[in-house]
Amino acid sequence: MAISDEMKAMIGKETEPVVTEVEKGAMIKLAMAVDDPNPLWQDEKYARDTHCGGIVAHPAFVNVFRGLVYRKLMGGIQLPQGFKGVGIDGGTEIEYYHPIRPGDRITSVAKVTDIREKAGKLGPMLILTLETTYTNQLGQVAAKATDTSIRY
Amino acid sequence: MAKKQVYWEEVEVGQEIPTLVKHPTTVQLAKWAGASGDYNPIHYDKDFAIANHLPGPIVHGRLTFAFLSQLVTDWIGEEGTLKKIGVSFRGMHGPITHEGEDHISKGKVSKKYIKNGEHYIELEIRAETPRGEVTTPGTAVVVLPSKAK
Repeated sequence: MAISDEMKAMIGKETEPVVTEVEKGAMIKLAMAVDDPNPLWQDEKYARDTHCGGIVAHPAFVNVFRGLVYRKLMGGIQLPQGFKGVGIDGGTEIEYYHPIRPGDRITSVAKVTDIREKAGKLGPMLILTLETTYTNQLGQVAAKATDTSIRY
Repeated sequence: MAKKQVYWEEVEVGQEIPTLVKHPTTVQLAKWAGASGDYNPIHYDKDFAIANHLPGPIVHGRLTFAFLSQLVTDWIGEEGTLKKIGVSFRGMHGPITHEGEDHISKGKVSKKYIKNGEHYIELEIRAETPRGEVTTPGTAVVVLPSKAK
């Protein structure tokens, strides 16, 4: 059994919060990297006159915070012996509650909610379920993500 | 700049939404790496990708997620709200070269209901390669404006 008691003890333990200030330029750069021309993500003048009242973050923008908080979370996990440390992104589900806007201060907190072991083509694999909450400076939850991370 | 807005009443279960075809190149993968902070070299370094048992650079799963988000937000228009989107990364798009290859996102309406006075639509979504392989199936939940309001 690859799942040690130490790993089991990780379940439910939250990372320290990671606070990120949202820069307008970073929001626009991400929309441009997707090559998504929607003016709500990048055209302030246009977006001001819509119900958004100004530009809002692309739905994929939360992945910027995710990268930062997951490094923290995964850094605390000791993989069992024989594991190469290869990580595969298994999938994600993101729920949106409040739009993310320029100047927001987003606090990201992540935790492992489940660890399962599975026999894969390349040997034993661990399937981790991770939950992350992204909260803005007003204390409103902007988004919640449930991610699946595969390790072998 | 008036845009076409879809209303909840106009939508039927089983209806396909307009397909989104993107054309990621290695340049786009480098741009996504910079914008998202995911610098794993399997997405832009051919030698590194091949040494890691891949056919060459592959599209970041999260960029496919971004394309599927665009599929949905393009369809729901400015007055629609994306509530939830979930995807499973089951296959890959690549090898990606400087010339790139088509990345196809499709969606179909699976449910339609009213909850707490809001007009919900659920979609089945998926990303496909030009060879018709479904790499990334998923679902999305949106709220659309209603003509009744």
